[in-house]
Amino acid sequence: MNLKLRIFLILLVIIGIYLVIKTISQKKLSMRYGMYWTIIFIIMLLLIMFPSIIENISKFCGFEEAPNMLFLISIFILFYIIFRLYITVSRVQEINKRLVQEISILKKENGKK
Amino acid sequence: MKILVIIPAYNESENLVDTINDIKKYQNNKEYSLDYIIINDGSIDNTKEVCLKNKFNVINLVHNLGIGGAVQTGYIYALKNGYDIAIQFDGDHQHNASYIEDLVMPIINKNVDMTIGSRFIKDLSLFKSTKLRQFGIKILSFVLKLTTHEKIYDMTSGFRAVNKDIIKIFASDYPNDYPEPETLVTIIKRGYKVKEIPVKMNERKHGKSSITPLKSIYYMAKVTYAMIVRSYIERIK
Repeated sequence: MNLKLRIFLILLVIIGIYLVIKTISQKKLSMRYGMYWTIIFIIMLLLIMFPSIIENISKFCGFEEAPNMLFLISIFILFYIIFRLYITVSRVQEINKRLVQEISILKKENGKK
Repeated sequence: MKILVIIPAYNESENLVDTINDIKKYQNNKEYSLDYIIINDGSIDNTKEVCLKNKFNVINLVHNLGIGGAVQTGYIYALKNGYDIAIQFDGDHQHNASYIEDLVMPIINKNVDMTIGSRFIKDLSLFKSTKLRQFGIKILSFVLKLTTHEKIYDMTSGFRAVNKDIIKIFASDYPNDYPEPETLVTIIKRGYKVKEIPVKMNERKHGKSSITPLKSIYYMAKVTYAMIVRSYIERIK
């Protein structure tokens, strides 16, 4: 890999980690999810610094080109993350609905007195 | 016997007074006492003010939840206040309160657990909705037959009465959108008895139905999917 490209990619990853920590500090992202993203970025950092890891694994698994494996794995991981996101959203929706129902009933009961 | 009529209302200020007056005509009965509760689902018209002015018994949801969440609020209220039977009744005055007794008596006599006001089993109703919609309902009826081996003709009727057991089930678990066909699968799969009662329904006087032609394809897909998945979930339980 070209040195310039490598430095550029490393910079991108560092910006990524910085953004994650910034959003945690702004309380927009929970520590738990922040950690997941940071781990993903650190794995990316390792792969950029030691590209031979990917080449060896992809050769071992029988891929013709290393990027093919990389894309495949990335897509799987993205699918998984999005699916988890849908699960979380469904749970939050359910909790939200319960809260609206409970508060509305309580408001009605208090109104009677 | 304490009976609660649950009336979900979203922007129904024009129809609501007629609906409540209709129900009040049938509140005096020797067999049971009939209360009602309006669930105002975050209406953006003056539904809230109409209820306040007429001193209607109402729960104003602090945020719009959609039909499923609104109706479920009624079931939670019924459970909390110890009602024996709950009746779903549309706020747009499509349903006739004169049939409440017909719906309730089979449950009081413990013959069935749930009754459905049906447009299709006797020719009482002049208004039966459009041909296309009737065809859609036939398909849903067929899906129910496949999944539960029971025949219900008016799959989408929102005029239904249930006993205490089913109030409990609905209070803890109720679909968010297009709940009617899916809940039928749940109830029948759990071994409860459901019966259709012939009723007459009115055409809406004011406002529009919630299902537009564009949404109907999505509606059919979602409801069919929900019925099949629900039947599978109930079977493996």
